[in-house]
Amino acid sequence: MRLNQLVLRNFRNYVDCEIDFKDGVNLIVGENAQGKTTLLEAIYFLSTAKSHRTYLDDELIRYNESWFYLKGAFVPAISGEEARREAAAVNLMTVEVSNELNGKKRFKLNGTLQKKLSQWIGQFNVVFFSPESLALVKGAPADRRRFVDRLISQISAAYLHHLQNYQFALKQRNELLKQIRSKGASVELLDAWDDLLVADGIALIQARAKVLAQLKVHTQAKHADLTGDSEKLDLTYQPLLDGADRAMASDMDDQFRRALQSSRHFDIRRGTTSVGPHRDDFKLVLEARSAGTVYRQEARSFGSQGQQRTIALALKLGELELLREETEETPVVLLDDVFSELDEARSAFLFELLRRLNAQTFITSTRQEVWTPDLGDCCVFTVQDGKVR
Amino acid sequence: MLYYPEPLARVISELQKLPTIGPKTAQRLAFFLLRMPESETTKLVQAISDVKTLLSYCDICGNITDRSPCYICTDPERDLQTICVIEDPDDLLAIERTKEYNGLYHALMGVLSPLDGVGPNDLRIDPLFERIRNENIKEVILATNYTTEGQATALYLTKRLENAGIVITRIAYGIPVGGDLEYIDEVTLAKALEGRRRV
Repeated sequence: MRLNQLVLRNFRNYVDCEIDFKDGVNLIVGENAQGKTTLLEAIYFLSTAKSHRTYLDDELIRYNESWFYLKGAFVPAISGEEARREAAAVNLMTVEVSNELNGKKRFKLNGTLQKKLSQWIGQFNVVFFSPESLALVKGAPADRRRFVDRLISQISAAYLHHLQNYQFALKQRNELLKQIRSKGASVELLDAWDDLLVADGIALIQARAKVLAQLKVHTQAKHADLTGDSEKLDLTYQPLLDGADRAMASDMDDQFRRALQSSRHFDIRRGTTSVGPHRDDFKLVLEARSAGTVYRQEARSFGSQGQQRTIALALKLGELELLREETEETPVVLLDDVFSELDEARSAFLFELLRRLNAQTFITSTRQEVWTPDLGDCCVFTVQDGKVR
Repeated sequence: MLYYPEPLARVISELQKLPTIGPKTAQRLAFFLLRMPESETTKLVQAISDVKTLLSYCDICGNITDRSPCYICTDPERDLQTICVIEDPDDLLAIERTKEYNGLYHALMGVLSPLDGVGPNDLRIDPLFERIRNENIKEVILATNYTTEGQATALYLTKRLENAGIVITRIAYGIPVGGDLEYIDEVTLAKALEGRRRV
């Protein structure tokens, strides 16, 4: 899918704005704090129903207003301007979202209200690379979990369903743990919630194991391209249940249940659940050769800034390849301020790849002239104070 | 500012307390009431007041009834060995409409939900066990909703009934009648496949 038109109303500093985008590279330039990243944020929101910057949707509402509205119009990814225009006339897809202050988000697909988020999400996919992507390498396990959850949710509606169920059951169980501690609620009540956690949790672990194995292959290939084979990157899933990625579903069932059982007393004391996929992580290890010796070091703590940036980019490109493979479509690529992040060689590699994939790309930059890579025909949009020219 | 005479304003504000009734609808209903013959409004008032004074919940099953035990619990034609466990009396009416079920009911009056502060003692769970002990029950059908809380409640009851020497069943879920596979969401379809039956 290609984003043809974007409409923003009362979204951050935009009052009412309609922008027609082109195939290929769309370059968004402007001074700081004019609303460049906000455009990318809006596109990201239309894909994932979340902002990449905040959990609080109400923060996205324009100052002193009570709602915001976003709309994206899409056409199938067909090359050739004329064929595309023809397709656009018959095959337009629209995705809309609105949010009221202290209210609920409403999602529309082709003008029809969608009750289930899982029926709205994943209509079109994006890959977002920004300076914050470094958190995938340097950040906490929660950053990596969020990345994995969003990635799989874009591929599989069933995963999102299990994830939402799991998170809700977890909240209920944690509340019950607190009530057992403070109000003397019966410990036996935990069994029912344990069963629910096990059922949905195992679906999550299995999906993560499968997708992370695929992601590893793609990420390793991209990392090798970026570093010229001088280092080797390893990515391993670390489910909190030991060996759960390899076990059969029925064994896992048992193992997860026993783990919940044996941590019960500890959990009651702490008032929170200590085992399960909500504590999962994946580990990034760099293998480098020096003077005939192989060094294996965890990238999170031992990698240099440059190495960590390369890994973050490789992960994002791995995500791009994975989404292409799974959905048979090239995702929309959002690049926020990447040229402060990447050196010349890496930017050149990135743009060569995007050109080859014919991906619709949105790039923000403060100054147009510092551009090193050759972007070919790109469409330039100037952003000033929430207005686009 | 628009001004209503006090009695009219009062009826509008009372009507607005009902679900799905906003200010506009309340106003329309109020004017409609105003134009109704007095005999009709008296009937309406009486009916509303009777709902509160004449109806109560059945002491045995929790059904809404004008006498306790209710007509289902006292019907000798019904299968007295099967209890269908439901969340609320509304669900009872839904199942009765199918005309497929001829057993007894037991409404829990809610579901387990620690976040809402609802535990087993807030539900009619002990009365259920008492019935199973005292009546000659052979099967318990768990018909709580397929929500997280409904599932947790069903799992909790299953565990506690394990050794009661009765058959415990759970209503199936999956594809609705007349459902076209093409239009059914993946999650429901996956569950329907999981719960497939030999024919």
